[in-house]
Amino acid sequence: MKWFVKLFFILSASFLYMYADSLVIAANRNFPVDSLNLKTVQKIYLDKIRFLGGKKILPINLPYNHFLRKKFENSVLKMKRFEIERYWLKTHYMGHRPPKVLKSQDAVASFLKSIDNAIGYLEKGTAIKYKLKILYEVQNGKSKSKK
Amino acid sequence: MVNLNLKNSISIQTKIFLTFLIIIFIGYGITFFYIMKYENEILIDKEMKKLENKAEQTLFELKNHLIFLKKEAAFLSKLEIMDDIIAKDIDKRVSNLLKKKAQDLGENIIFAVIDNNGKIVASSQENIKLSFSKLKKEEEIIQNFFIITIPVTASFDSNRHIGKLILLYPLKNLEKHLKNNEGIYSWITSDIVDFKKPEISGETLEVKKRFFAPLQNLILHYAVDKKIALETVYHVQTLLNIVFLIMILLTSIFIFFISKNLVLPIKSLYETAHYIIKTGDYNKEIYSNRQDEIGNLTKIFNILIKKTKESLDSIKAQSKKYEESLIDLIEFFNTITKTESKYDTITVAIRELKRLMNTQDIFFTTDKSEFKNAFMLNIDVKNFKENRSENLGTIVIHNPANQITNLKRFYNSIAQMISLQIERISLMEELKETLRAKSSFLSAMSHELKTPIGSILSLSQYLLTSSKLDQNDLESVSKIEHSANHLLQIINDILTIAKADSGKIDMNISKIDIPQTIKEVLDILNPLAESKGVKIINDIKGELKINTDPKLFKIVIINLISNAIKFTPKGDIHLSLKKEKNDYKIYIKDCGIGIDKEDIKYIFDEFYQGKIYKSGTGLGLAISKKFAALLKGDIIVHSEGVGKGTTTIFVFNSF
Repeated sequence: MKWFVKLFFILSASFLYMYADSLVIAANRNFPVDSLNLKTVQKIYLDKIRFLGGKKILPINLPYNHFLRKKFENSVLKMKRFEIERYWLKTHYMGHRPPKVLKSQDAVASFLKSIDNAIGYLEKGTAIKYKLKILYEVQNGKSKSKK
Repeated sequence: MVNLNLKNSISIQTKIFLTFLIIIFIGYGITFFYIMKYENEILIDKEMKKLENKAEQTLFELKNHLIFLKKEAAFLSKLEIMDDIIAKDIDKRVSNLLKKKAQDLGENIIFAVIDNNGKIVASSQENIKLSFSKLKKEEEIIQNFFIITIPVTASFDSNRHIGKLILLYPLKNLEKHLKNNEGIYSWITSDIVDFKKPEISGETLEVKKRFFAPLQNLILHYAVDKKIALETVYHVQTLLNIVFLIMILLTSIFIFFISKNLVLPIKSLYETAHYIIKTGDYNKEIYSNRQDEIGNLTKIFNILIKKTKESLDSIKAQSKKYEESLIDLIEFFNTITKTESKYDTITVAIRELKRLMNTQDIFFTTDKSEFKNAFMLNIDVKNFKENRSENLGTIVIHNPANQITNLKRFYNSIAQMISLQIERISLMEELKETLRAKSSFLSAMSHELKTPIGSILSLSQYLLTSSKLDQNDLESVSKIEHSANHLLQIINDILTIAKADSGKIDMNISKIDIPQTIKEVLDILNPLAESKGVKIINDIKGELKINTDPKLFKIVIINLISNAIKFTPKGDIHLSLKKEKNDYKIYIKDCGIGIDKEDIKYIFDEFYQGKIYKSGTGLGLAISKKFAALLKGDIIVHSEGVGKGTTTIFVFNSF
């Protein structure tokens, strides 16, 4: 069974990789910074950094099985699922909580549109569609800072 | 008094019955009044309070229900998922949640979420026509809904308002929480919503309660069927009526027994008393074995009858004793009065006293010494000649038996009786002596007078016949002869009276014919009458033979008729005879000079002569009366007065 699941993930990932848009970290145009490097994004999503430019940062996640979330975990956080789960379990006792989850890219986008200090990961097309500020872009499995 | 009589005329039985009836009526009345007024009020009050409590309870439950709904809404609003409002609920996650919750709660509750612009982001039901832009308060009523509004903040930033959660609660639902059963009705009235009112029949007690804010426009009604509420009172009333009837029944039975046990004995007492009064039979007794008051009354009644009988008997015995002693006394007096000498009187008195007192210890003494333990009857006799009392002696009664009450008075009256008898005897003796003296004096005197008068008469008659005297002397001698003759007549009359008084007139009783005798008398007297011009009319005719002394009878008749002739100057003299009972009466009626009323009293006295006519001896009527008495009769004289004639009645009797 395990191998079947692995195979499925690999296949789906390769499929997404081939057809999907590139993953971007986006935010409201009023977001205090214009770009973020990979490390900062990782720290924000792991609740290691909470403030940027004097403002509290609100990272938005996607549901557990969302394909973008998997892509995000693989290419940005670079952690396996169990590692992430173990991390949150460990840090729970220190007051850390996983990021807020919204159901769809559209929900995330519209949420970012109205919340200044939130960031989220979206497909690039969606981000552009909602006229969001792109802070970081991941392309073909390689993360690349805009700067 | 009338009222009292009326009261007394009601029988005891009726009185008792009425009394009990009144008591029962008063008791019943008070209880009935109390129950009708106070118990009713109390029960109504209680029922109202109950209703109020129920209403309040219901309101409390409704409020709790709404609070529960509010809590639910508040819970929903706190959910992180509400952050989707920011994303306009693109994923319908909020909508789904609201729909699920609304479905869970039921009651047609509608949830809605609006954003800060008042635009509906999500709702449990499509097509909500309400506009939420005007919502200001946490709770308010719009149209048919009770609306709870809860602000929603972002889960990540509690200062950020992202919208409002709205709960629409249809007011119509409130009705479903009301219960209508067991005669208790509840409903809501309001201007806003048309609530259904339950169908109520009959009278009810109703309570109104205003809802809590902000539902103050709603009024909760609670009502209860009065019949059910006052069921207890009605039950008690029924019970009371039954008890009342039972009481009357019991009273009637009770009265029946009272009448049997109380009134009947009294009635029997009354009847017995009535019987005794009617017949005087005191032997009657009432039988009763009761131990109560009636029994006591009966006993006392019997004792009373017995005592009365005893008293009556003793009174009878006493009166008999009195009667006997009275008879004894009368007999004693009677015996005493028959005695004829002092010695006899005292001897008989002592004998009778011995018999009366039933003792031998009675004797007479002239000794004045005192005797101990004895009763002394002093015989004091009045001496009429010397007009003083003198003591004859004493009758001494030893050990007088105390048989007679008022003994002293009894003995005194005996002593007085003895004294009286002795006085009488002595008086009679004196009288007899006097009469004897008078008669002997008269006869002696007459005899002594007759001899000289005889000499005077014979000598004067000799002188008259010798005619040697002249006319004057002759006249004188004639007067002497006339006077001597008159004197002799007087003396003869006196002698007759004296004879009559001393009882020396011999009576020769023989049968005579009265009319015949009268005729003979008239033959003698007619010449005298004719010489005076007086006519004698004799109505005495026929035959009437009686036993009497013809000589005395004739003397009386002659005397009376000649008197009538003498005192009748002119006119008729009527003679008639009547028989009244055993008496014969000869009426001699003249129309002569009559008699003065004063004189009638004295006409029979010896030597009395009327004021008018003064001739004769004045002894005629006295002699006639005495002879009439000897003939068992009397002479009665009637006259209307001087000049009106006289009627002389000669009463006589047959021997």
